Formats: sequence, structure tokens, C-alpha cells
Amino acid sequence: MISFDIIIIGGGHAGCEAAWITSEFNLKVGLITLPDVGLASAPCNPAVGGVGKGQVVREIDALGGLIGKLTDLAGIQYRILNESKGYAVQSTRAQIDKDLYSKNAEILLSQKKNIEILKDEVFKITKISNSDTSNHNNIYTLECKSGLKINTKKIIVTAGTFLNAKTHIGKTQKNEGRVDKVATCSLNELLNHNTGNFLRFKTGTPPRLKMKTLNYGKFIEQKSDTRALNFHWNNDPYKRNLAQVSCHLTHTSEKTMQIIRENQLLSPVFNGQIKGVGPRYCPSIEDKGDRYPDRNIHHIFVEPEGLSLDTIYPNGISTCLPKDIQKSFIQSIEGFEKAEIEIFGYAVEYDVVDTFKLHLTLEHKNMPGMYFAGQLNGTSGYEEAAGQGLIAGINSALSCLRRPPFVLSRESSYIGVMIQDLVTIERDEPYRLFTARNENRLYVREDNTINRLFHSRQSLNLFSEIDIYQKKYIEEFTVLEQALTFKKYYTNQSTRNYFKEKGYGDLNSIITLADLIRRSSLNPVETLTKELTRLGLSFMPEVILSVAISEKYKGYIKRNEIDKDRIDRFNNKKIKWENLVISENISNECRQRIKKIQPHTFGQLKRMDGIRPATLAYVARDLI
Amino acid sequence: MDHSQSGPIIACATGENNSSAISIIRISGFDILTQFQNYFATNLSFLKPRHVYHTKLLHPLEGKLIDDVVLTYYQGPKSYNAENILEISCHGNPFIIKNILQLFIVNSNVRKAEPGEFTLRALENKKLTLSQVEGLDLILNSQSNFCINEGLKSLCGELHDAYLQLEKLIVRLCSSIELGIDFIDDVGEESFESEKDRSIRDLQDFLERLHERASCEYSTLLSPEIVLFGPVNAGKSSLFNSLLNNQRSIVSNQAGTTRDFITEYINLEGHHFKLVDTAGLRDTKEVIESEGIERTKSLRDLCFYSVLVIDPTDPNFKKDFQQAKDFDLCILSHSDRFDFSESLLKYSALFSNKKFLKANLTDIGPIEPFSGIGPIEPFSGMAPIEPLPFGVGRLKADVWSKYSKLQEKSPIILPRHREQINSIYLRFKRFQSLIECETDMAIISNELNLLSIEIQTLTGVFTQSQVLNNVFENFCIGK
Ligand SMILES: Cc1cc2nc3c(=O)[nH]c(=O)nc-3n(C[C@H](O)[C@H](O)[C@H](O)COP(=O)(O)OP(=O)(O)OC[C@H]3O[C@@H](n4cnc5c(N)ncnc54)[C@H](O)[C@@H]3O)c2cc1C
Ligand SMILES: Nc1nc2c(ncn2[C@@H]2O[C@H](COP(=O)(O)OP(=O)(O)O)[C@@H](O)[C@H]2O)c(=O)[nH]1
Ligand SMILES: [Mg+2]
Repeated sequence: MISFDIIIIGGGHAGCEAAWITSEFNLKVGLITLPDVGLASAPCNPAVGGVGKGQVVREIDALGGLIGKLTDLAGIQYRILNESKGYAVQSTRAQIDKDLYSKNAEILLSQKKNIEILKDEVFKITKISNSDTSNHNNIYTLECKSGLKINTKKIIVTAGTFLNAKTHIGKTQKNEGRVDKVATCSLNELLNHNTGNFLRFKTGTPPRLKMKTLNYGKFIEQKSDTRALNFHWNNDPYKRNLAQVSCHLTHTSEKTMQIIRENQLLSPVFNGQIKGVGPRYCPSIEDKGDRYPDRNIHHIFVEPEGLSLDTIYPNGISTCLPKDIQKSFIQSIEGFEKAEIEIFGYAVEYDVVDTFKLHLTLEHKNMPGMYFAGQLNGTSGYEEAAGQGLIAGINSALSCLRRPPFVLSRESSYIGVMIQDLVTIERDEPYRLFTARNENRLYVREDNTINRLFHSRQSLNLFSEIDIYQKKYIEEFTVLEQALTFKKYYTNQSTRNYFKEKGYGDLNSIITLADLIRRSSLNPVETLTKELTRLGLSFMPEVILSVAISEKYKGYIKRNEIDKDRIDRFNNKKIKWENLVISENISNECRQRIKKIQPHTFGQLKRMDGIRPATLAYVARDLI
Repeated sequence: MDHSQSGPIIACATGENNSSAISIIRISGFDILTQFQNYFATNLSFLKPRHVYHTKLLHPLEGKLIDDVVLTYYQGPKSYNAENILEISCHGNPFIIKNILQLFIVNSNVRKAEPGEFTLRALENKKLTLSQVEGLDLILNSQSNFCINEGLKSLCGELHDAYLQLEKLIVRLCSSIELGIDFIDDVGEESFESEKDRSIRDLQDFLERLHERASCEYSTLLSPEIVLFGPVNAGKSSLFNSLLNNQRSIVSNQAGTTRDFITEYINLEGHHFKLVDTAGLRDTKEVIESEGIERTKSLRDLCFYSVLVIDPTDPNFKKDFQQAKDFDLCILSHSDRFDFSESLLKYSALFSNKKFLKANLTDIGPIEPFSGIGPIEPFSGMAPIEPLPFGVGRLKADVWSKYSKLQEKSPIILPRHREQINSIYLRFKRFQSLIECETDMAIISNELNLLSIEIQTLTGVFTQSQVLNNVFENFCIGK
């Protein structure tokens, strides 16, 4: 019998992140993962980041995590999303070479001396009787398919979509966690007792197409954006690791949607074959056809899956229709007329954990020492999974070392928002991060991630290179921020001329550099960069970016603090869900949700998914 | 006033200090009814809620008869404020009322209610919304039918529904912005822009209307006055009496008889109007008269409907007539005089675009507007004078039409609502000017959040205790 400090079950995005960070604490870490599934593999779109998610990737990176590093190593196209909508809500997204990504994960993790990677399948976890939880002795035994038995103090379960999983393509159902990857036992079997929880979710993916069979002449090209900053702190902000490729844009046609609508009932999503709940914000193309009966044009992004791979991922047409129908609707799409399908689209349903029963550390309330992270917590997305893996990893390690728990606040991070949402609000559909989930959006941005998380990272006491970098960053930031108010422009002919020449506008009174970059007609980052160059001052580009953007939002953030008090007081108002459930003024759908989730405050109700504004208004009406 | 105080309270709901046939005393917030058993000759445990019982009210210790009363028991939560309420209808003598109140306060664990406390509890127990409470205040304390109607609207939730609609619109706008931020790939830039613009437009339209209602002048509606102006002896008092069908005012042919304003009420379409007869506008040496004239001028600007009565045969006519344009209606009196038509012809150049009524006000008595005979008759022919159809009836119709036009705007008159709608409106204007130059969606959404907080304040969500205090201050005891 071998024993470990921490065992991680599952080598997906959550598991890899957990293993990476726990190993930093000099603990004996074991990562057990299925033999035929690659580490950190990407079963869905070959991309990392995106609106709300780019922020998470940078947060993980600032806390010493892995996802940013892996993404930069395999990044083949970068984009800044929402650029026209302002810095606070803009995010970086990178296409990845999914093979390289997974290979690099394998390499980086196996380089860590205190991580042991075991390719095996766990089918049972039992609590060692008489184990003394307060003493932090081994408290769990794991049994693997190979016959191996392992004792461990802490377990992090990150089994993704594999528990009691079932894939669907048309009528065909298989016990698989992904296409061609056999499913594992159910959650209750794995935990060796009936948890009373049988929640199941569903997700889906589009068919993969052979690149060479597509007519690229019909697509609109989207080049990689050279201005997007890399994710990992230790990389040059702009230098890419790999050659950059383009994505392309096409769309569905009237015929496509006609085929899909005609065959709607052949889709397991519609004929009752799938029982699990899918995400409303990530609908299959069947869903779209049904939900928007008047719309026949839906965007499709043609995303390469890798530099050496011959397949593309057509983003926007996830489906589990029968194979022949997939084929015919695919070929009705602009540029896909002769497309050949490499792998058919499918849907998968799987067991998920009731995260209401987890602490903010992601430790289970009834099973001390057992942590849960990733897709099996009912989230969707690599970044969400990775963020949870990091938090579960850090906390299991701190718990081993008998140190206080590590919790990120809602006010300063997307990870904090996500975890608080997961454990305080019961949900009945997969959870994804949006910027709208964050009340403090003007402050929780990509550019100031280090400012937001510096103290949290410091509190880990890991003292590695990243901490030296972050200290330097904060120092430079402080210096530059002060310089903004020291540097003044006096009103004389030459400065006036200079302002005119640069397009800075009028100069009627003495202003500071801070005043200048706050001018709404100017781009703060460009202006600050120009002025610093002229003054001969050099700062790290990421510091300049963050200082300039922070300056822009400063006034707004300050004003919000004043109103926050009011909002908080309102959100903390108690509501009687029992009354709402029987109210005739609330739609049946909302009533059902309220009954299930039982929100106690108006804030919780507001944060619930799928609550109609009319319901909120109705409830607000009585909150005096 | 401390809102958090609980426990049973008592007050006379019909006023303590005036005699009336009956009075109602209310006790609210007790745990069990039978705790008052000693006060009544009937066994209280048999009282069915919302049934009426005739019984005797006794001194709880001495057992002597205090009054013959009728009891109604409302069991919470099916009561006005969701608490247990006992209503005692007693004889409306102030001594009896004080006696009974005293009896309960001294001998039971009951204290005297603060003004509006019954209603405050209704609000706290979610029996009424803030708008409803405010409406109730209007009904109970208002001076005019208009206010009573407004109060009813608020109580019935008409206003509240309008506010919810407003809230719906802001929520829709907020959602459209969030959609553009988080799901732009799904919805597309174009439909995002159009949904956003449509939401802004709808919100603007609705808000403009609401703002109009909340900022339109309504004070005259609260106590609408019809005021008769004109030089002394023009015939104001005569007209006043004609309108009242009696001789309330002293009519005299000596200038300056009507020393001060004389006020009466007349009823039009079920609404009360104050009718005011003023002193003459002519200069005089008498102090009391000149004071009256000063007041006259300011009154004209404030009143709801102003009538100038003027006699064309008077030598000062031309000078007095100069102000005719400032009045709602001009009545030319003394039409029975032989020189009347002649005078009109002489001044015909002065009469343009103004409503006139030609009248003979000498005979005071019942007036039959459509009879064609009688003291007031329409001036006909003779352009450019615009004649009005028959008499007093016509005058009344003109007053009514002005009144109902103003009423149609359905002004919002609750001060808190007016203020709040105004600040919502200002925020919205700020939001509009912001989006003209700002493209940063997070900032725009931020401004919108602040706007929606203002809106929620209106619907009663953010009620600070201060607002509550304001609402309750105006209540008289026992409601
Ligand atoms: C078909 C499909 C479609 C998807 N579509 C989307 C989408 O549209 N949008 C989106 O954001 N995300 C999507 N995802 C989700 C995304 O893939 C996941 O969020 C992410 O991979 C979750 O990471 P994870 O670490 O939680 O789990 P996974 O990546 O699933 O990793 C689980 C790991 O656990 C291991 N494992 C499981 N059971 C055992 C066991 N008993 N013993 C040992 N090892 C075990 C497996 O080997 C695997 O490596 C999709 C996933 C799938 C499969
Ligand atoms: N002949 C005639 N006498 C009138 C008329 N109107 C008023 N009078 C008389 O004029 C005098 C003054 O009228 P009064 O109503 O007191 O005028 P006031 O000073 O404007 O209030 C009274 O004797 C009235 O009878 C009218 O139309 N015709
Ligand atoms: Mg008079």
C-alpha cells in the first residue's frame, strides 16, 4: 500500500492545475488519471480565455498556476474580445494547438519531482475507519482498476464529464465520458455511499471537419492580434511562442436551419432521450433553430485545432443529431459544401456534485479532506475548471500543513465570484462565468490582475520567482501612479503647440499627466506610452497598461463605493421564498426555480439563473 | 418615531375630540382576544372573526357599565395590518372615548398608538406597499376630490403598476447592455445595437410621460378656485350670487362695498370649486380696500380660473379692459343698459381673440342658461367678439373643461414621488449625455445601475427609515 499527502483524481484542466500548485508546497502528490485520456486535453473548442474567462486565466497565472503558461506555449492565434466595449469588459482569447497543449501539460507536470502520475482508474473511495480527521492522518483509501490501493490524507476529485457518463448521437447511446472514451462509475459508486444526489448535466460539441475539404475562399479571415498580451507573466508580453494562424468566419444558411428544424425530433435534446440539463447560454444548433424560429443566419467560427492537425472546430454548431443529418446540414453551410466529417458531434450527460454542500475552499461539508473541482461541480469551461482546481489544490495543501484556508473575495476576482456563486447558490444548469456575474466589474479587470491578487499570492508564502516579479511590478506601478500626478503641463505657447500637434486638445489651465490621460477623447494607454517615451522614462509595458486604465476608471470606482452601501443593504434584504413559490404573480418557471433553490435574500434571488425581471420587480415591490 | 416598537396599541380611529353618533376604537397587535375578557359581557372565545357582536363594555375590575358597544374581531393575518385587531364601536362622546382608552391603557398591556402606527404595521407586514400608504394619506387628509381620486389610484396600485412598468423597461435596457458585453458573439453587433437603442427609446418615452405627470403644475387642482375680478360695481357680486343661486354677498351700488374676499363653494360634476368674490381693482384711499386690491393681483396668478367682470358703459372701461388678456374669461355686464351696444361698437377694436360673455346682472335669481331669457345671455354677432353660448351654464362648462384637461394629464402629486421621478429623470438625462460620448460599456452599465437604483427607490425598495418617517409624519392618530 502506497500513501500520499494529496491524491488528485482526474488529469483534466482542474486536476492538472491542482497537481501543479500543490506540488509547490513540498507535499507528496499523486495524480491518477485515465490511461487513454491525455492530460489537460481539450474535448471541446481549441481555445482558452474569452469574455470573463480571460480574466480567470490571468488570475490563475498571478497566483502561480499553470493554464496561462500552457496556453502561451500552445497559442496559435490571439484576439482581444470586446475591444470596442472598453477595458473593463475586454478579454484575451487564444486558440491553442490542442495536441501540443496536452503534451506540454504532461511534460511540465512530470518535471515536478514530487508529483507522481498514475495512469489508472479509481473506482472506489473509502474512509479509513477510526481515522482521526483532526490529526491529518491518512483518512481515505482509493481502489484502482489495476488492483492498486492507495492511502491519502486529502483527495481532490476532478473527474470532469466521466462519472456515469453517456454520450448521444441521434439514437445511439454509449457509456462514454467523451466520444470513444469509456465512462467511469457513478458519483455514488465512487464515493461508496449514496450521497442522495442524482443531479445530471449535459453538454455537447460540434463535429470536427477535415481542413482540406473546406473552401476557404468563402470565409472571412480573422488574423491573430499582435496587440494582445500573452497570458504568462514570465513571457515577453508580445512575443509568441508559435507561428500564428488565422481563424475564419462563416454562417449557417436558410437550408441549414431548415434541415435542422425538420429533424428536430431526431435530436436527443428534444425527444427526451437526454435527461441532463444543458446550459442555456451555450445552446446546440438544434436549440438555436427552435429558440429563434425567424433567424437562419448564425455565425460559425472556423477554428484550427492545431498546427499539425488537419481538423477544424466549427464553433457555434454543437449538435447530437444523427450522423447523416449532421452531414447534410454541414454541407449546406457556406464553404462547407464538400466538407468531410472527421468526428461527429455529440452530447454527453454526466453526474454532478451538489456544490451547495461545499465550503468556499471546495472541501465537502460532510466529507472532510475531500475536495471537488471542475466540470463535475457543474461548471463548464476549461478556465472555470482550472480556477477551481487551483483553489482546491491550494486549500488541500494548506490544510495538510495546518494553515488557515485560502479564499478569494468576490470583490477582487472572478474566481472569487465563481466559487461563492457555486457554494452559496444551488443551480440547476451548468455554470459559466460572465462579466455580468461580477458586481465589481470596473475594478476586476485583466490589466490589473496582479494588483488585485498580489496580497493573496504573498499569503501563500511560496517565495518563488513569480513573487519577485510581482513585487517589482507593484513597485513600478506605485512609482508610475505617483508620477502621473507629479508631472504637470504648464500653459505656455510651446506646450499648447505640443498639445495641438499630438491631438491632445486644448490646454487652458495647468494639468497633470493624470488629467491628460483621463481625457475621454484620448486612448489612455497610447497617450501614457507616448508621454513616457518623450520623458525618457521606461516601465514594463504591463505596468503602463494597468496604470493608464486604472486612472481612467478611478473616479467611477470611487463613486461606486458610495452607492455600494445602498446596494448591499438592498441585496441583503430577506425574502420569503415560501411565499413566492405560491404567488400567482410569478411565472411557473420562476416558481419552480425558487422552490428548488430557496433563496433567502434578494441578492441571492437576483443572482439565480433564469429569474425573470418581472419576478425581481415583483419581489422588490414588497421589500420595504 | 420608533418603527420597531411592537406590542398591542390602541387609538380612536374616528377622532377623539368631537362628538358624533358613534366612534370606533381600535386595538391592534395583541396575542389572544380573551385577554380582554374582563371588559366585556360576552364570552370572547365565541367571537367569530369578522362578525359583529352587540355587547356591553364594563370596567375590568369593578364590573360597572361603561358603554353599550358593538365588537368586530379581525384575526391576523386577515386584517388591515395583518395583526389581530379588535374594533369597538362606542358612542361618540369625547368623554366616553377618553374613558375607554384610559381604561385599556391603565388596566391592560396596551399603549396609545403613535400617529399612523396601525398603517406602519400594515406596511411592515406587507399588507400595503409604500405607494398604497401614501395614497391612503392623501385620501384621509386631502381637501379636494381630485386628491381623493389620486389617493385611490395610488392605493389601488395604478401608480405602482406604472412604476413597475418603468422598472421593467430599465431592466430590459440593462439586460440588453449585458447581452452586448457577454454574448456579443451570439447576438451579433447589429441586433445588440438595435435592441439597445429600442430599449433606450422605450424607456425615454415612458420616462418623459411620467416626468410630465410628476412635474406638471397641480396645486390649483388641490383646491381649485374660480375668482371673480373687476372694477368696483362692475357686477362681480351680482355674478357671484347668480352662480350660487342665492344672495350670499352684499350687493350695493356704492363703490367698495365688498371689503374683503367672500368665499363659497359650488359643485361642478361632483367636484368642489371655491368661488371667490374679490374687491374691485380700482384705486382707492381706503386702506382696507387697497389691501384687498394687492391680494387681488396675486390671486389672479395663482387661481385656477379667473373671470373679469367689466361694464362697458363705465367711463374707465378702456383702462380697466387692458388686463382682459390675463383672464380666463371676460364678462361684459350691464347688457341691459341703453348705451351698452353703443359702447361695444366704440371699443370694438379692443375685442380680439378673447372669450366674452354679455350679461345683464341686475335681476338676481335662478338662472336658466338655456332658456334664452334671464339675466345672462350670450353676446351674439358683432365680430371679432367671440360669443359664448348661453350663460352661467356655459361659464361652468368652460371651467369644467379646463379642469378636466388638467386632470387628464393625471399629475402625480405625492411629493416623494415627484422628487424621486425628478431625480430618475435627471439621472436618465445624464445617462443619455454619457452615451453620446462614452463607448465604454462597463461605464455605461455602471451608470445604468445607478439609474436603476433610483428607480427601485421609487418603487419602495430602498426606503430608508427617513423616507418612512416622512410618510408617516402626516398621519393623524388611529388609522
Ligand atoms: C463533449 C464536450 C463538450 C463540451 N463543450 C463545452 C463548451 O461548449 N463550452 C465549454 O466551456 N466547455 C465545454 N466542455 C467542457 C470542458 O471540456 C470542460 O469544462 C473541461 O474539460 C473540464 O475540465 P475538468 O478538469 O473538470 O474535466 P475533464 O477535462 O473532463 O477531465 C476529467 C479527467 O478525469 C479523468 N477521470 C475521470 N474519471 C476518472 C476516474 N474514475 N479515475 C481516474 N481518472 C478519472 C479523466 O481521465 C479526465 O482526464 C465540453 C466538454 C465535453 C466533453
Ligand atoms: N343694470 C344693470 N345693473 C347691474 C348689472 N350688474 C350689476 N348691476 C348693479 O350694479 C351695482 C353693483 O353691482 P355689484 O354686483 O355689487 O358690483 P361689484 O362691486 O362688482 O361687486 C348693483 O346695484 C347691481 O344691481 C347689470 O348687468 N345691469
Ligand atoms: Mg361687490
